[in-house]
Amino acid sequence: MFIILQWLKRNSYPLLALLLFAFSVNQILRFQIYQHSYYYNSSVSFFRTIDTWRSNVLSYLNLKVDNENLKNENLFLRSQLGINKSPLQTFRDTSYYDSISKVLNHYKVVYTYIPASVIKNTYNSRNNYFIIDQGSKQGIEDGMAVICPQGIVGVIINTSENYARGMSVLNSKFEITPYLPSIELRQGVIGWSGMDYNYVDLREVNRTEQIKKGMTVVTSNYSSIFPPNIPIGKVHSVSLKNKSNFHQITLKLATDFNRLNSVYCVKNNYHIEIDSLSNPILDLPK
Amino acid sequence: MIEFLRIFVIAFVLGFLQSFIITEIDMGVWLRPMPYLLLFIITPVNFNRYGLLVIAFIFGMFIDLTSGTFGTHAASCVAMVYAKNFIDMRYADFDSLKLQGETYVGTETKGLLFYFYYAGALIFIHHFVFFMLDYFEFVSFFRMIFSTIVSTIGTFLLILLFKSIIKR
Repeated sequence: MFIILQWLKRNSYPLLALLLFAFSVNQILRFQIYQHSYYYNSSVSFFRTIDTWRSNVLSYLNLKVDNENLKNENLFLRSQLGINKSPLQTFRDTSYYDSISKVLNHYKVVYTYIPASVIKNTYNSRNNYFIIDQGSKQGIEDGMAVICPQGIVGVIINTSENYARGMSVLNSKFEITPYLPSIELRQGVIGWSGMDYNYVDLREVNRTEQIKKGMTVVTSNYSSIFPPNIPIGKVHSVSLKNKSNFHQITLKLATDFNRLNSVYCVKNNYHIEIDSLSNPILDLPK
Repeated sequence: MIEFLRIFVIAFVLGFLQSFIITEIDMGVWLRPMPYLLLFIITPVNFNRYGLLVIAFIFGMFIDLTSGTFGTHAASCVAMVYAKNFIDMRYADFDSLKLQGETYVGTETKGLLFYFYYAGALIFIHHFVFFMLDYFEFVSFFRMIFSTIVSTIGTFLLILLFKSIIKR
């Protein structure tokens, strides 16, 4: 302590000069518009670069888990395609490709997927956010859904040229209507209680519904943001209170937010059209 | 006390001149003379260095408030006064000044050449910090240096002019 005081006494003059100089520079950065914006943009760019480096190192460390996830996803997609079952491969009938292309031309491409990497993610705060390394230049827009191979991640809320910020499922403002395929139920609201990043609450499900532990919960086709059948989680616990009309349900999230790395941003190409039809003005009598 | 009062009056006059007259005159992009720096050049060599640092900061803030630069003058004044303390201790030779019955560096005590280097260096340091904070980007480095040199010359000439007026 004595040494520190001696040092402070010895260097009091340069320290006072430094203090006054720092205060003046602080005033410049706070009140001068050009310096403020230059400093803000430079520091944001600097910290984004640091985040990208950190993310690169972490993604390298998580390669094994990512590989496993990608393998599972590939397996699932292969089973959806049904290529292995096609008898046309044996006969090599070229009309098959023509007919496929004709059919494809009549399909609507409802969802467009843009792959991205998470460079920053919080999961310990009350309201959590994540940042991805893709922005408006790459086609990311506000309101796009974000999913990962395991399940839903969140919604994009801010977009810059090369980065975007999303509100994760672990946010008090995030809500989504679920679908329980085993009992074909589209009811209730999913929200995070802020307690544990592995669990969310499923509220407002009528007590007459037969909810059981282990049931899979996915996204509903009623959502104009999320594609249907994206896993949300599984029912972890169900309980009833005497006076309540609703179940108290806890879900274990499918997404591991602790290991979030590769994600897909999903754009619903028809959401403007859907939203315009949902406009209450249309309900008014003419 | 008289010394302090003298500095206060000079500070008031120079601050008024800088804020309400010189800042209002359009002298182009490169030339921004700041003759108020004369206040720190004619401050006695044996003046309390902590006090001078605080005076420089407050005076700079006053100029900032009147010219809307928010801290740029204050930062450059603090940097200049810090440099002045260093230069005074190394080169001003207070004992010889005392023998001549003066307490500050002037043309009559140290000669024109020494004064040219002394005032020129202090003004350059002030202007360098000022324009560095004003331009605030590395790509404008050469423009900043050019502004610093042109304004240093302008300020130096105005200081010589004011100094002769004060003497009379």
